[in-house]
Amino acid sequence: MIEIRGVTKSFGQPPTTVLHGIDAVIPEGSFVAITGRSGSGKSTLLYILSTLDQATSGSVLLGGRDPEKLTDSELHDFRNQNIGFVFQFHFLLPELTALENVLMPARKHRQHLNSQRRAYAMSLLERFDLKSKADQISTSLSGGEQQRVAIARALVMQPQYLFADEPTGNLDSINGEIVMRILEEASRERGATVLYVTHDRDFAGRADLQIQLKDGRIDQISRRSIDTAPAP
Amino acid sequence: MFFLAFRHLVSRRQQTLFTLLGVALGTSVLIAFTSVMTGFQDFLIDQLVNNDAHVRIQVDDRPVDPTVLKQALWSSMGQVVWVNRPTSALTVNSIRNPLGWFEVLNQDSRVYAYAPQLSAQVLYSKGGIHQGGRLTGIKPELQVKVTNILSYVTQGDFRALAHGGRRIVIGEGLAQRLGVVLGDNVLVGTGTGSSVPMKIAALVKTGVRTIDDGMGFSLLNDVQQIAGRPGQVTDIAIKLFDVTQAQDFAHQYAALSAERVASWDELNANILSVFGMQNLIRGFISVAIMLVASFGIYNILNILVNQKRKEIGILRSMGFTAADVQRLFLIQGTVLGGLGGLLGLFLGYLMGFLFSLIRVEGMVTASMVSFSAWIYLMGFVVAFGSALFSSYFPARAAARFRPIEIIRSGE
Ligand SMILES: Nc1ncnc2c1ncn2[C@@H]1O[C@H](COP(=O)(O)OP(=O)(O)O)[C@@H](O)[C@H]1O
Ligand SMILES: [Mg+2]
Repeated sequence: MIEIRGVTKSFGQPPTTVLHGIDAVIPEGSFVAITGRSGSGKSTLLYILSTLDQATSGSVLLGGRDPEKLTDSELHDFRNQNIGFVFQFHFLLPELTALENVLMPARKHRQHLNSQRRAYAMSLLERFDLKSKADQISTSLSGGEQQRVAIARALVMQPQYLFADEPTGNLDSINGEIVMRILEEASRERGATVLYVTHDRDFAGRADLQIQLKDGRIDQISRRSIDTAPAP
Repeated sequence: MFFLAFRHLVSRRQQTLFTLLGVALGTSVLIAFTSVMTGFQDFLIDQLVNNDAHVRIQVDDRPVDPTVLKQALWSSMGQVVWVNRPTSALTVNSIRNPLGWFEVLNQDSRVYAYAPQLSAQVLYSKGGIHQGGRLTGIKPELQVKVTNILSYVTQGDFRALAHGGRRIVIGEGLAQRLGVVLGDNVLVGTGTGSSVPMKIAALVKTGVRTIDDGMGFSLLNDVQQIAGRPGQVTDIAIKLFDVTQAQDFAHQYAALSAERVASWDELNANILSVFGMQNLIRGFISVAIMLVASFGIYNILNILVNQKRKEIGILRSMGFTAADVQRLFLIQGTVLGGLGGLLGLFLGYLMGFLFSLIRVEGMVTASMVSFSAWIYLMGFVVAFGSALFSSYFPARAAARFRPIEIIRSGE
């Protein structure tokens, strides 16, 4: 469960407020779309929820834990174990192969040598139709393939929370659809809580929960009707 | 982070190679340079320490300063008019009480051996050819204990001097100039007496031309007789058990005697001061070389850190800490420094080895290049240390990047 309590965020001096007291509760395992116009504060909110940034006031609880109360090394461990992040731009490490990129987060605690972890990484690549590209240098892959590698990397530690900031923004509709299916799977089959930012109406419509932002405020929260939602 | 650091280095193969070569070259030049200089200095010091006495007691023939003399003798008088200005030509030109010295030295437990000498200016002649030089009267059995003269004998038997009968040992250069060989006679003349024929018992060659061209040794008694200075001694050469005591030993006796008592380093102060200058220059060059290598590493890492902003952001978002990021770049710097340093040690050894094949004309010992482990240790420590130092700042800058800013800007 993600509890968002009165989160505001201001930048600069004099401060301009970008988020004005966001309140929301997101149940564990939900598939959540964040929508809104450009500049409405979607990314800013996502960065705060994913512990990369801090709220100016208010608090965020991830599974009941307040990341701001953790020490620096605890916070990094928490991120490593519980949070996956997919950016609009893939951000792969260009020196490494696809598989090495996927296993990079596991290196923090030397789990890249763990056979189960390796098998899981391979199974992700296989699932994402990248098995034959596992040992290719990541820069030799296409944009869609790179984004899939990035998602596999975000999932390799089996995080409870997956955040994706416009993950399909740079992809054509076919690759966008593939990425959306993968994210959906992560939520429905793996039980991860997935929050994604999208401008695409159709993609947004597939969420259990749509949070629409407008000028840093929640404009509307819409839930998919219970009967059309798959069993939890 | 080792893994990623190595992948970074490997992916920039050419740059890595050039940096390695830069560090290696700097280190090797530093090592070769130090090896040659240290080797040369060690060689010379070894010569100074072992070839000659550790301490020498000599007639004090340093110039007399009239103002000092006036101050000492007539300090209350306003003006002193010299009838004869004082000169450095002493009326006393030999050690005043050699027997007294012998007694003292016999009782000093620090003394390994001592050898009295009488040095005189002479004219060597053979068949109308004349050559000025110095003849030193010695006691062969003592002289060989105090100096390394035996190791310079190229022909004949140095100890045969002891048999008496007006024998002489001369430098090879002198023999060539006079056109004489082992077993020939040369005429030795002092300013006062008449010339005396002496039979050449051995030839020596030190490699120092000014010495080889005018040097002769003969029995102390013979020289005293030829020079008309019976019982006189101009020098007492002393070898100690422990050369490091030479300074203390010399100071102690200098304070007590009218003679000049000087340790080997005082006798060779001019050479040692040249060493000081050499070491200073070596220090400057070392610093310059390592600055260039360090700057190379600094520059490359600085550029790299800024190129890798995006990746630093992603690493942090995966849960790697600022310290991990710092390590990523420190490792690269130290790998460059370490491998470059090792390569430099090897190249430096190779250069030293090549230098050691070069024979310096006139030098007796084969090699003057030092292969001391200390030089190599110093070379490596300097290379590694400057790499660590120069990678520290870029690495710290990388650690200070704020991941949120990198990710927000997207580039
Ligand atoms: N570091 C910052 N400093 C100042 N203003 C910022 C900063 N980050 C974001 N903003 C502003 O906050 C607003 C919301 O940005 P963002 O969350 O990126 O919007 P979205 O992702 O919905 O397009 C924008 O007006 C943007 O200019
Ligand atoms: Mg955005």
